[in-house]
Amino acid sequence: MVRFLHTADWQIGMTRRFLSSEAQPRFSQSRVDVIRRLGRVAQDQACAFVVVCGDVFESNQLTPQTVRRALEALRSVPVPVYLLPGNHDPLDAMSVYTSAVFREEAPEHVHVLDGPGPHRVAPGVELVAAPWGSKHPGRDLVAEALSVVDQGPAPAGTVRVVVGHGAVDELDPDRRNPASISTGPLRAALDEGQIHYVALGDRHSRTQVGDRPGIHYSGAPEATAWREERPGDVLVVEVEPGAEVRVTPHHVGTWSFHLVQERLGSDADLDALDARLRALPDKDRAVVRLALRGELTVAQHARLEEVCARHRDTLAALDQWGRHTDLAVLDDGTDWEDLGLGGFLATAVEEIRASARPVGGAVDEDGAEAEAEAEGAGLGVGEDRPGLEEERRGEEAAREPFRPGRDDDETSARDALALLYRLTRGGVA
Amino acid sequence: MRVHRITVRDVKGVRESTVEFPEHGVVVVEGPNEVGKSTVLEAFDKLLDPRLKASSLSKEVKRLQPVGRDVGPYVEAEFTVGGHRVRYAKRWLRQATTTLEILTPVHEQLTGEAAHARVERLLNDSLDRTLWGALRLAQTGDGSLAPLADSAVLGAALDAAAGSDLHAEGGEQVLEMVEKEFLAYFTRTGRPTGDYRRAMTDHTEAQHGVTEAHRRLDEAGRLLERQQSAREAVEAGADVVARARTDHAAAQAAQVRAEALAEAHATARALLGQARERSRAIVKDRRHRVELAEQVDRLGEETDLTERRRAEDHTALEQLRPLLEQAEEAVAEADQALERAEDVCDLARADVDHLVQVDQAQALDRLVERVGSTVARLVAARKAVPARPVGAQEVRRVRELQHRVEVLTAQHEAASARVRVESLGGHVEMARPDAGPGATLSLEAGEISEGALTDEVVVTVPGAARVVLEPEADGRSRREELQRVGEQLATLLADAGAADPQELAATAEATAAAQGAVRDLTRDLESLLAGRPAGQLREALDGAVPAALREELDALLEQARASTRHDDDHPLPADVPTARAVAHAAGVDVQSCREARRSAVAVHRERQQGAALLRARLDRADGHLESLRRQVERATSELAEARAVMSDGALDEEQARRATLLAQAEVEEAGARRALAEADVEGVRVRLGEAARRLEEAEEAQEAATATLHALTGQVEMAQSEGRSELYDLAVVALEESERRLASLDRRARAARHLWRTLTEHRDRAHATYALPYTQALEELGRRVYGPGFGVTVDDQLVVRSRTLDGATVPFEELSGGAKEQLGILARLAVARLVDPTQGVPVVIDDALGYTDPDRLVQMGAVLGASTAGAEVQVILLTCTPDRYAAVPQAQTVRLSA
Repeated sequence: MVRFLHTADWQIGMTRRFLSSEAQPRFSQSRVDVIRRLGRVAQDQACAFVVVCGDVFESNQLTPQTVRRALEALRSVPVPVYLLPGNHDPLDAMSVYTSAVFREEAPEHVHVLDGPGPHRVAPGVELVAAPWGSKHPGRDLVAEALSVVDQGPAPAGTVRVVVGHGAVDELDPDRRNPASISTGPLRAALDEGQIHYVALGDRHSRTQVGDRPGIHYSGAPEATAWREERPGDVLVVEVEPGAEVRVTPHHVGTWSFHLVQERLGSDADLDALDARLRALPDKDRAVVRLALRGELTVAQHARLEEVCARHRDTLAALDQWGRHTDLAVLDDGTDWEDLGLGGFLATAVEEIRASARPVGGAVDEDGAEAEAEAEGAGLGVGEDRPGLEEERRGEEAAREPFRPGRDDDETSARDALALLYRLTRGGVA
Repeated sequence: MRVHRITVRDVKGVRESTVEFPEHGVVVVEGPNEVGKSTVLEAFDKLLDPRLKASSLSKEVKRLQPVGRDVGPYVEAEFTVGGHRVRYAKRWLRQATTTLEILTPVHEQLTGEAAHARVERLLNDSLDRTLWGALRLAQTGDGSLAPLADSAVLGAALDAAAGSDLHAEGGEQVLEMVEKEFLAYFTRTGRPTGDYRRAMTDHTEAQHGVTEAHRRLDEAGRLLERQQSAREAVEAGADVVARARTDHAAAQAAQVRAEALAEAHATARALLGQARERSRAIVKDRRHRVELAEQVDRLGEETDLTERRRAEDHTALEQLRPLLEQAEEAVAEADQALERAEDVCDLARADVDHLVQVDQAQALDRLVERVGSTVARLVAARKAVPARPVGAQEVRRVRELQHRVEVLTAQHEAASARVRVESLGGHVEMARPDAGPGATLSLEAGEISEGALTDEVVVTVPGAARVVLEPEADGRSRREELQRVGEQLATLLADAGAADPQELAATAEATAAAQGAVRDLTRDLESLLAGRPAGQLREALDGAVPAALREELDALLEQARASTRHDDDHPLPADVPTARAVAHAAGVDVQSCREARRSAVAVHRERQQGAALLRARLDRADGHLESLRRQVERATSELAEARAVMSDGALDEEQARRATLLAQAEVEEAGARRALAEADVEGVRVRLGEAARRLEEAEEAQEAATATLHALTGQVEMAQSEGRSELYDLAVVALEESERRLASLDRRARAARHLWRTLTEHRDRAHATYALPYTQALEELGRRVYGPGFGVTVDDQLVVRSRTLDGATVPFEELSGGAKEQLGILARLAVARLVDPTQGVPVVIDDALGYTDPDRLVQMGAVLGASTAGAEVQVILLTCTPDRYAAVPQAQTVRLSA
């Protein structure tokens, strides 16, 4: 019997654009801290080793500081650790695993699975590694790694674990992706006893592939986006040849992503939203995306602004999901009547109201939506598809810069009304 | 507000004074200067000032205290405000008290702080302080109205008058808040500022950061690609090098084979060369043996011939020797003859020089003599010129004048009457001025005096008669003419220093003679001294023999004396020509002596040369004979030695043997050469060179490719170690954040701008609307004073900007003091008439209209009356000039006296 800890997608060095410069370091630090926690799980669960199935690092080009911090955390893991290069950190010429910092400072019990095929890591234990050598291998690396393993059932007393990274064919929306991992042969090999477990990385959601245990994505130990399912776990795997594999998840993550979808129409709805946000745990590690719909009065709208502003201070991030936000500000004039503005104030308000047609998405229009959409595309399937990262970077560099100080328009009119409302609500002499 | 009564006690210079004000209409408070009219109002102001509680010790309070009296200033007033009629009093500084009695609608009595607070509340609720301040025209003011736009009471009134509701309660306050918000993001000119501006800068910087980080990331990607290509190049290069090595090894083997053939051929050639050499050597030995024998014979013959010639030359030299001695003697003789002739010739030439010098000295001596006599004569001639030289011109002029005197005298006498006086017995005296002044002529009996009557003649017969004869008028003018000419003549003569014309003529002659002599002598000197320095002529003309001339003469005489010789054998020739003839003959003699010497020398040299030639030939023959003897000896011994080594027969045999060996060697060498040619050594060498070059090139290319790969690998490692991907991601995060922050600020800023712009625009428009009823009210009052041609422009702050009178528009500031004051009063009255009477305040005019002319004063009075008539307006006029407001109808007058 062999027991080990299966994890993947640490994504050390990852940045999130919806995070402020104050929250980002916390996010980065958490991705390192979780290594220590999973190390304790490995110790507590008497795991023989830890295997990390790719994307240990967000990229190959990380600052030495980031790499050193990860290595320092790895030092605290009391069992051997096997790192598999994934699509984010492939073994190319610039690989982080061949960098001077890694070569010179990696602890002795940390090993890189740098060649395809079996690695004997302990008596009776073989890891069949399928490391990525580049970002675009263009072939099924797992199948390739398996092809060099002796045919037929594994010798008695030998446990074989396949260690791979990437989307499996049955979950890959891109049917023609040549790098998809074919599950058919893997299942056949499992059935035959040639291999005993397939540890995969790439999906940040903890997933069992197929009906039977045997092929698993551990998911990311710290969440990275909204649509991830069951992130923040590691898997403790127990393999006994001849018996069914036992896979037990352990939660180690501290960050949470929340998509808050609400229909607003009354002060009570606002109260409920406020309460829901207030109830979130670990707010400084909670990332909230609002998808609000409904109709609000000017006064209610002003209040919504206030509620959002208040929670934005405590949450790691709070933004609007543009596509799913549809808020109309109803301005029938009653709010203004309540304020009792007369004279030129009244005529001015009339003029501004005329140019402020009620439209949706009026709460906040931060620039995080583009990224939210981009990340949404990758969720629920593979973490990302090849080339996405480069495309995204090209777009970022070339994107139209924000232009401040535009002429008056509906938005400025609406905001002007809100401002006037805020200023006069305190009562005018 | 309406004021009913004000009482002051111990305030400034006023001990006690009470002024009662009528409910409405005009009240004129009249009193001399310093009686305290203004003090009453000032005290009322202090009473209403919420800051000045009774307990206050502020400067403003202390200013109310009378100078030099330690008493508490006291003010009491009864007034109506906000529907309350109150009596309110305060004493400051001494026994401070505050009392308030509300009279209507509900009676109430309060003291101290409570009273103060109650009044403050009342005033805050119901007194428009803007209006209160604006409707007072102080002594010091120029009539301009404080901006009225902020007055709520007036605003409401104007809104009402304009039939609109543009005035907003607290509108200005809101605008102020909005403006504050606007100014947090923008400057007044609309440029971003503060955090907003900083956020823009940060955002721009973050953009640059992303661009730069992306560039570096891109660069890293390209580096990676280049490294990959470099690695592929190195791998391909390794194959090329391996192939080149194989080719090179094959070429080297071919080269080794070719080299062996070349070596065999070289050996054969060396052996052939040796055989040739030996064959050639034996042939040469044999030829040498023959030549040596011939040489011995030839040398013997030459020795005999040389000895014969030497004997002949020796004989010839012996014969030449006496002839050479003769020639030497002839040369010596010729030398002596020449020396003698040259001495004679030198002497003759010296004589010629001496004689020439003597001749020159004599000529110069003559010249000195002639110059001397000429100079003496010149001096004399100059002295002969008269002191006053007279020219022919002058002589001619005198002669003309003299002639004219004679003619005129004759004419005069001929034309004059004649007089004839005859003494008949007694003594007659006759005076004739023409005979000189006082010249008289006494005629005794029978004497007759007759003449022309050219002058007055007085004839006196003592005791009997005096006859005066006067010449006719013409005679007088003729006489005057005569006299004038005579005077001219006399003047000329006197000028020339001559007593009469004859003397003048003599002087003229002497002058001409002397000047002629001077000219001749000057010419003589010029010709004598021609060709000499000009200074010598000037000296001579100045009357002296030139010193240079004398010095030259002395020098010549000295030379001549020095060159004189005394030789009795050769007497000095008689003259220069003779001496020259002697010298010429001596010269000819010297010439012939030289000729004779040259001939002797030539003969001598010829014979000398002949002897030298013979001696040289003898020496050479001796040397040659010696050499010949040695050669014979050497050749003979060499021949003997050679024969001892190898006899002539043995030599012939050896020569035949070596010829055979040579033929064999030639055959062998030809075989080796053929084999070598067939092996294509050159081709092999070229192919090897080519292979080596290709190998070298391939290796160099490989080295370069490897170096490139290393360099790129270094760069890749460097880029890798920088963490460019992470830095890029962080830059994007920073950009996102700065953009979020900027977007958020931008929304607020634009909202503030939108709101501020709109509100300001509406406020200004509202003000502009207010201005209309105010303008109308003011113009209506103004037309009563100035007539229908009166108009004003009022800005949106309700400030009067200009006044128009009968078509002439003048800006307010440029109006006269009086006009400003009048306009100020009218403006205040217009405001007072517009506002709600219950909310209005009194119009207070302190000592105004001092500059207003009587007619206008009457009109102003009428306006004051009319504007208050029927309106519930309280107008308080303070004046020290009785009757200034006499024209105000229904005015009540309160007189204050000290």
